Amino acid sequence: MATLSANNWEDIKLGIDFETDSINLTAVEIRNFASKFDPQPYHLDRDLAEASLFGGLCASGWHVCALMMKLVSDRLAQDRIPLLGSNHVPVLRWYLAVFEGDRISASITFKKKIKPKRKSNHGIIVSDIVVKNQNSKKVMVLTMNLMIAKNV
Amino acid sequence: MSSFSVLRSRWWEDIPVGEFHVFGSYTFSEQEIIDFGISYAPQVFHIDPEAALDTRYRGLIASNWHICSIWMRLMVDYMENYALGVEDGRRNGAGIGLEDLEIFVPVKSGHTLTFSHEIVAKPSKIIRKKWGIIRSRNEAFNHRNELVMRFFIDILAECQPK
Repeated sequence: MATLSANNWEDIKLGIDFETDSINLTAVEIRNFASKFDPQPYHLDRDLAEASLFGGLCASGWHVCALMMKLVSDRLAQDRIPLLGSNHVPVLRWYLAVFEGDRISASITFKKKIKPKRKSNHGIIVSDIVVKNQNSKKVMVLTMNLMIAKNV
Repeated sequence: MSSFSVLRSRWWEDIPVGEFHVFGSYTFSEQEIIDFGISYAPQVFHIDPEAALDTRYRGLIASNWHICSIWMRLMVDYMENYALGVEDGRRNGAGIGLEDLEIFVPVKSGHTLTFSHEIVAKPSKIIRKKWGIIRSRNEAFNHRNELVMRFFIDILAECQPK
């Protein structure tokens, strides 16, 4: 929620890049997410995964989305930017699988501001987000319209 | 066997544009919304039922990525059900991308979503000489029949060997 020291929608400058923290993905976490949400062999079983098109135990694409959201949420909170979620992801591409033992992080670029609607409590910041692995290879790229609280 | 019995085992060439499935329903619980939020989307309206009352949502709501993850679970279960007894190795492959994922109405605990899937295009591009692309429109409706979520997803499907 907006506080006196928050960097609200009005305060945000475009063109600034943020680097998030990183997350090391274990086989246990990959299997836990997959058993709940995406129980396909290449997310659950190391041997079957090695024989699959991925070639190894790898995270669900939706798991990568969820981890991206955590990285972005924590990074914006550090800068006291009040993120109210997102109601539109215009485009998202999965480029590479994220395997057990991989370490992923994200960079966030604020690209465009869309003015708040009348009576709305937030404006939109159209943001490009690139998720990379430990070898700096792009694993997922998306554009996400972030809802940021405006001044009251 | 009806034509739907082999949903997962068909070659890319055999999957028709226009095919439509209502493939599952799911009721979101408060605890699941909070658990997902703590792990992946730590905004107060996902993790704190009391504080969420003071937000624009007037209560706890599910993360968009939680809704998408439930979409995936219901889709996997549906495909597995229709692939029972099929052992010829053909299967749909990975998702490669999304377009226009939009959320129109918040999802609160106790809400039941029903998910539909329609094949809308088969782009002609073939990947690694083996995989075709199936583009589908996916929608979720709540118990009041309001459109809650929509996205388009491109998924790989194996081409028939020449």
